Amino acid sequence: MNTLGRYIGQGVVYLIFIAFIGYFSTSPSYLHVPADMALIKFTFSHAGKRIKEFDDTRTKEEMAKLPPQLRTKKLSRERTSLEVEFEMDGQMLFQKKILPRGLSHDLPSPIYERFIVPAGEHHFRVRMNDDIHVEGFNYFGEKSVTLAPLQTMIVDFDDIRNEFVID
Amino acid sequence: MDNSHQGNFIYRFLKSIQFSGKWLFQRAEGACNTVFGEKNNPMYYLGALTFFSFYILFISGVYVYIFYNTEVSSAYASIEYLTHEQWYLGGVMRSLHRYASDAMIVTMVLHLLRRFFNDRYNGGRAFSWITGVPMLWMVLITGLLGYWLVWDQMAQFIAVRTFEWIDWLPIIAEPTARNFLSNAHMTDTLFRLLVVTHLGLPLILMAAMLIHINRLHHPKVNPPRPLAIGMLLALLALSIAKPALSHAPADLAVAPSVINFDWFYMAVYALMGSWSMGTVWAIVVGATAFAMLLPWLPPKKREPAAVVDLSTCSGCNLCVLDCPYEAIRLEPRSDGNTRFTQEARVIEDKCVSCGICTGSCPYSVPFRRTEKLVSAIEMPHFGIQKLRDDVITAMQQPGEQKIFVFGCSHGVGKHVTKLDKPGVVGVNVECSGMLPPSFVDYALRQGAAGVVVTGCREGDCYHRLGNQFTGERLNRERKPELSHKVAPERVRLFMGAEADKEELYGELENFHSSLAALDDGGDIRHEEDKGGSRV
Repeated sequence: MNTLGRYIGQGVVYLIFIAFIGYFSTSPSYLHVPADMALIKFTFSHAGKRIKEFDDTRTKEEMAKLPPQLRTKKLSRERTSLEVEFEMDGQMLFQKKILPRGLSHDLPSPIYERFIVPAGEHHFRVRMNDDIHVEGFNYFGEKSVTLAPLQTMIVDFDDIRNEFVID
Repeated sequence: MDNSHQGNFIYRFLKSIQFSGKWLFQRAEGACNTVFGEKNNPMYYLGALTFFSFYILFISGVYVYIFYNTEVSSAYASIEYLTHEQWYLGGVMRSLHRYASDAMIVTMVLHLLRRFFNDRYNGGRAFSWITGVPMLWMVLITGLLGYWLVWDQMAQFIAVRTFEWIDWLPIIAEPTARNFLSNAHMTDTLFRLLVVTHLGLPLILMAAMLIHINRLHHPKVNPPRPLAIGMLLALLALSIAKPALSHAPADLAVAPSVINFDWFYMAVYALMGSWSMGTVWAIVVGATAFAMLLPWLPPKKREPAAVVDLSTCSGCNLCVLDCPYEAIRLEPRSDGNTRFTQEARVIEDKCVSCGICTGSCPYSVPFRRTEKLVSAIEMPHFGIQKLRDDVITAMQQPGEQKIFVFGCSHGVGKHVTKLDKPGVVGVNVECSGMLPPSFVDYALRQGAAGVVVTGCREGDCYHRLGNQFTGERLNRERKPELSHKVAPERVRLFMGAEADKEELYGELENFHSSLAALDDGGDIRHEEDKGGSRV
């Protein structure tokens, strides 16, 4: 191949190279959330109540035999799993039992869920039980929200006020 | 890989992939050889081009950083200033930074695939392979952090989805993605931490790159100048023709909708949209683990390392200089020999048994009349005694005028013992660099009319430097040189890949004709035939 042909050939190779890079560096585009939808993030991290107060199988008689400074009862660490339900317009979006983290299940139970829903007005209800000794649910939240297209709405739990925040 | 694994399913599966990939790459490389020439073929410099992309990234990155504001509230604006107000330099530098990072991924992946298809990733090369695979992830993470710093909607998408992915791991007590619930959560401190990580990771990457080439002698870390200029100009042209642009500024109250993905870095995020986070983790971890374990699937049977014969080793240093894997060093004599102060010592772990040390040893001479012919350094399984015996056996085949071919075992030389061509005989050596030049002389003295030495394509030696050294030795530019008594027109060097068998036939045909013309003209094979002395 003559010199001119080689230079043209090299130009073609470089052109293919930059065309490949130039195209795939921005294309094809990716649709994350459609323009007429909204994003809900249902997320919080909450520690359930302890399943029992003490984790000690020693009887009173056995305890009595111990020196006074060793007669303290061993506290239980395991926490209740959270039972959570989240509804939109009467339709269940999320219903799950969330185990506490940690090897002894003594850490908070984390939740992070995403829902892509149509924009517009919706009614949301959320319920949670964090105590194994309570029947049904012991926390409730409810709110009607008009979601703008592409709005991100957060459903959180405020551990200080012990209530759900839908915003 | 040795043949003992042929019944193994993984072996057969990998071999079939390698066969197809090698076929494809050899054609692409052949086309590039036509237009770039073998010395500037980009396919032979994929690792060096990756290094070169890194240099471009470093320089363009320093420039962009000068104007970059590390506060979350003004980072976006500072990048926009570079892109639009200072488009003629800052914008070009930003685009160059982006496209060089993409080019780096492309050359890295091609480099990795090429190593795999050409079976250059296991045995003694496993070290470079297993240090190379994690580097791909380091580059990807660094690049994603770079996108993050623009703090536009794509950055927001990357940040949130990355932490949502990490949060899938059951070890996280508090979801880390909650740090991105609202704009108030995004602090300057967190942002600066990202900046520091984006600047710090390349330093670790640089150390990893040095480790990656640690076991190589004369590593190709810089592409030839024409190739470097060509790549730089090509990336500059792309930067001007299609400047890198930002998306709308990040706003955590608004979900990003359409994102112009950089697929070289973000393909895994598309998987997150289609499959569960757990599946994506399984794919990423599984693919990485598979790639890391590849050199042992199945393990390559390693030939024994080179051995040094201290009775002949003079510590001349030639094998140390020529070993492509830095597997030989000089040490003080251990045998009490007072004539020489040093001896060659083979580092067995690094030796890949290429035999190039045998080719470089001045004692690898077949003319010696000893009971057992041994070089000062040679392969226990393929010493110069065996090579000489092979030459003698091959030359005993019937036929008149013979061309003797020394073929390397990896390129076109693979075919030499099966060539269906009258008047052509040959033997295989592990690498053309393993051939001591005196054996060319020996084959001629055994009656060969001419000698052809074949190696892999120029610039693409399976053992990195073997065909370069052989060329230099036969051209009398490197020790040990081909004897000056050998007529140069009776020796040819042919470099080609397995796919170049037809070209080898053509070369042999051509050589046959020119040798016939030489013999008809009463030409001689050795200067000594004119009255000169024997080597």
